[in-house]
Amino acid sequence: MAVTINRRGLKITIDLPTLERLNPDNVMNNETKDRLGNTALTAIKSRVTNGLSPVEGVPRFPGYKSTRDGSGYPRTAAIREKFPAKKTRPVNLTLSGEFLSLLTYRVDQLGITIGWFDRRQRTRDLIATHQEGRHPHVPRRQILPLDEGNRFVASIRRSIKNVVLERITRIINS
Amino acid sequence: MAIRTTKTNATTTRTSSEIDLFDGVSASRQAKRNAAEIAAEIIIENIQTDLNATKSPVSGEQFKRLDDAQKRIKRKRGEPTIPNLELSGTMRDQLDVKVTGSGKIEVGVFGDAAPRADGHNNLSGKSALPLRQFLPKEGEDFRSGIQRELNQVIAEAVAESVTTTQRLPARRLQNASSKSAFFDILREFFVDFTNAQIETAVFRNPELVLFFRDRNLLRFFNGSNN
Repeated sequence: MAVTINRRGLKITIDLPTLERLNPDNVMNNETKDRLGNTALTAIKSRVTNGLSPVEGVPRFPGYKSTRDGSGYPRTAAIREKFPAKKTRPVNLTLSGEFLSLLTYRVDQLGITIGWFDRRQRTRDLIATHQEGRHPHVPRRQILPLDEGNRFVASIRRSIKNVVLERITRIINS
Repeated sequence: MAIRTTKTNATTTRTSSEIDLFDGVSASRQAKRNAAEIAAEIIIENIQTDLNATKSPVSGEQFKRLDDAQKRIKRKRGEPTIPNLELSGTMRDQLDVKVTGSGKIEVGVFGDAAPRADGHNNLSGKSALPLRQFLPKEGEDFRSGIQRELNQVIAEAVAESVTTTQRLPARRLQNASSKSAFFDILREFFVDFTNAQIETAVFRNPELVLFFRDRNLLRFFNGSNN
């Protein structure tokens, strides 16, 4: 929309073709949704692998038991034998790598849904332990903002917002 | 550039650096506040990531290795024998960033582990430990990769402001005789930013793209289809 003011008055020009192209279905096409999903997942996993929750207001993931007394997870004999590369720091929810690799997104009508879509009991147990904090001996290490009032940290929100803004400016500029 | 470490603190409960993200740069109060929140997360994530990789987020250089005595202590506690500044983990748990004002943040260790943080950073000038710095001193910057990320956030805040509170000089921009003259005018708002940073900020702002498109000025940008 262009606005011109001169001595004769005010002239407003509405660019209808651009306005039509900016309909929600065109802005949020499948390519944009895929970019959104990939951008969000990259940002989420980057924080988790460095021991930080992607959820605003949630502090750094609590340390493993062995970092307090020198024994216990992940210094147990079984873990050391099967996963010798597993370290006590950072606390990154990565042992075999499967849990984080199963965190993915699905494109739907409205946008995207990020989560674990794997229905195996093992995955559900890990979600209950880390995301929901239901294990009595393991501290909660929240990855997704699923509680009421939760949201992603500002830097992830910015990355997601920029994908949509760049799509809009591409449409305007095309 | 816009980002400046203005002050450092080294007390028993606070070892920190105060940073002005908008030194010499104009932006609306709201845009500064939003940018400060984003910058705070970027800084914390980068400091923790660099410490995991045993390098300084200030100089970008690897930390000095631990001596044998320190390695023995860490091994006994089941910790990796690398200089990642983790023993109990308390100091890094207390690492935080606060938004202290319009475009201003304070990053540091807040709590009883603050003196340990000063031991590594020597902000007080009294530490005898090997320097393993993760907080900038007065006048110092973070390493270039972090600065670049922060500058982009600030450029986006300026772009947001020029569409809401300030007015770009349309006629002067239309009369610009060259690309460099055009960007020089924009740099009166985007002080000290590169053409690439300005362009990225513009193309993340639909209002600005419309402003330039309606005046046939998108031709000055590399990413334009015009």
